[in-house]
Amino acid sequence: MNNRAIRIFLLSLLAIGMLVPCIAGVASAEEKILKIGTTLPLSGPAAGWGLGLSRMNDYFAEDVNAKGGLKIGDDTYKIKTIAYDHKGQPSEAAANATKLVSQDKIQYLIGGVIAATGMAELPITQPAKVVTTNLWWGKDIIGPDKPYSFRQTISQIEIGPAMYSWIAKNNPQIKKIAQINPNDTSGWDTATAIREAATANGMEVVAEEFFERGTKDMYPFLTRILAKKPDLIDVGVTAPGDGAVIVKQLYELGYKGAKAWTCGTNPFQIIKLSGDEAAEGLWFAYGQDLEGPNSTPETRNLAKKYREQFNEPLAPHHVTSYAMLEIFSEAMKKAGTTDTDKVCKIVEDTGKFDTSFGPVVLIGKQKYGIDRQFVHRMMLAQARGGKLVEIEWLPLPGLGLPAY
Amino acid sequence: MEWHLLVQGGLNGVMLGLNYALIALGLTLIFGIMGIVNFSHGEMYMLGGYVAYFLFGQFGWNFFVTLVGAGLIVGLLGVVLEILVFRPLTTRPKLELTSLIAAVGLAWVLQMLAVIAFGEQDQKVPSAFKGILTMGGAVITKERLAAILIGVLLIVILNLFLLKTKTGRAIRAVAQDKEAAALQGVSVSRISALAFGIGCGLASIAGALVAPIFIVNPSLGSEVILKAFLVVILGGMGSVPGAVLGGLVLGFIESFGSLFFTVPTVMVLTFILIIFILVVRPQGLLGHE
Repeated sequence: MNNRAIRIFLLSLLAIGMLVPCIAGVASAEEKILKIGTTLPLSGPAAGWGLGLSRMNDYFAEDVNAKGGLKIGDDTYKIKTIAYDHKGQPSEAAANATKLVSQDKIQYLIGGVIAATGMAELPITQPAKVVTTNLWWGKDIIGPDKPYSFRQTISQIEIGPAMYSWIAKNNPQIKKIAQINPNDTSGWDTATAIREAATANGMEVVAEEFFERGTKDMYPFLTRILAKKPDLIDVGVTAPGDGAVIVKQLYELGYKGAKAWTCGTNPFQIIKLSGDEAAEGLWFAYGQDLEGPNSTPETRNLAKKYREQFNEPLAPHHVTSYAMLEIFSEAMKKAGTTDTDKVCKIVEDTGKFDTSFGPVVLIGKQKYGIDRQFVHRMMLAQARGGKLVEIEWLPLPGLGLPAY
Repeated sequence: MEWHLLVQGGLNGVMLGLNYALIALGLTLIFGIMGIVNFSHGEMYMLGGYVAYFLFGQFGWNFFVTLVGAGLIVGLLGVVLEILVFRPLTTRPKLELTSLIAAVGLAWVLQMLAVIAFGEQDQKVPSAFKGILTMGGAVITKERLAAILIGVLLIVILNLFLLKTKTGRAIRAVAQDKEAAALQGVSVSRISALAFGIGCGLASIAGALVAPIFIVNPSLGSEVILKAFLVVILGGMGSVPGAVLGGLVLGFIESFGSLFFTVPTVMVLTFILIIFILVVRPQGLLGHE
């Protein structure tokens, strides 16, 4: 090969080297990807919580991508969802969060559940400025020291007073309360919230029990609780699988008093698992029938699509993930960037949102020292004859929601 | 303390204890014969629950036929797993460690396969025996009573099989001394496969038996395996009567303990008591040195 040929060869290589990044640059401008991550219990007793939340992220991505993507600044993003199973285990949640932050480079982690897993994830997501919107129901989940942590559902701290105020007003004969919760952060904080709410409404808490998630035979401690003769047994923040077993075994042991699932989500699954007779009379604060007349048309469509695809009903708390993605994607559009500091500022400044799930308001400064608690309407419902019957929107005074 | 609460505690303890014993029986049998700590044993219990869900709950089979089916299907799976997974390890050094790792891996694989095949959601199995009985102020459902009676029957059958039949004697001979048993013409590999199958079948029947009482999901096995190991250690590794006694002791501790203390306190007390028993009698209640 002579010098000329070598020169032409080297020039060609140089030209290719210069052209390839340009072509790639054009391609990436056209096909930018916004990764939305989540780590949830996708198997185990709390899978009923996790699966629906994960699927809502997928639904949102499908809907946005079908419309051509999300226009943020000069770029249009396709949404890609990433979900890892932590089985309700904090150690696995921390490992998954590390993977999502370091390897997948996500900026938004939507839909966490079980506070103990949240406490394990926050030390990883906060320094990385990763926004988490979650259903971690613990008092230390949001605060001024955790500016990227938002709670996407009303927690036990807000539900407790509303639920027990309603019970005291409508069922004055209920005086003695027993409550059962899982033995972890979610359970302990829920027990505190229910205890405070019940006593503030003139009731006495005669029994408080904490069990390990996944326990199957609850007879031993239920026997002791029933000996205290409570008027109402509240299964607090118990997961659907565990709670259904408790409700069934309470029925078997002859309990005929009132039952409440103050923080119980997924009411249809709970009625199915515990059985019609055992579930009879059970109150749900999270009892909205998403395909019913009180839901928005968008929510009804989501619920119908979900039931047809997965042959199971969608639960109210699941839809909050879809609503969070609506809120944060709108904020990204307004900010013209996915930068979490700028997006959080816009969300905080906006404060009130109209989502597929209905009106949502961001509060929290008074209680948590920072506005990071989203609140939405709560439908009180009851299991009657194996069906879920909506009673009324639970009054939530002082939370800034529009009148309904 | 009211009298009927003690009766209720006793009934709860028998139910809990027999359930633990049934799971632990297979575990201790496998350890006694093969020296394998089978961490995948809980998954056999879980598969038994799913057999009940499909055969009894979905296809409407008779419950007793379902129990036999659960024992046979998962028992056969156990034989296959012994031949394919565990037998090749018996000729290699450090059997305890390699088989332990293989069993943990197998448990994980079986659980993941269950998630793929059956889905992650909890499933309800309909009640096989409807109705509630009252005994001295205490209550027991007919399905729990049936589980207790069937559990006792299974333990009696297993003991008669091990004590009175030629194959049962061969199993005990292999458990005591493999080489001596082989010199007497016993096929150690055949007996190992059979014992593994029986062990897995027993766990499966236990899972099917309680499926209508509780609920079924893919993580069912990992939830019970810790208790099963506690029972085996308490009763004595490799001891069949020890597994029954260990199961009942653990069941009664949990049941009566819960009448007086909270669940976390009972857990702590249970572990303290088990540590005490093992300090005094390291081989377990009915184990040998």
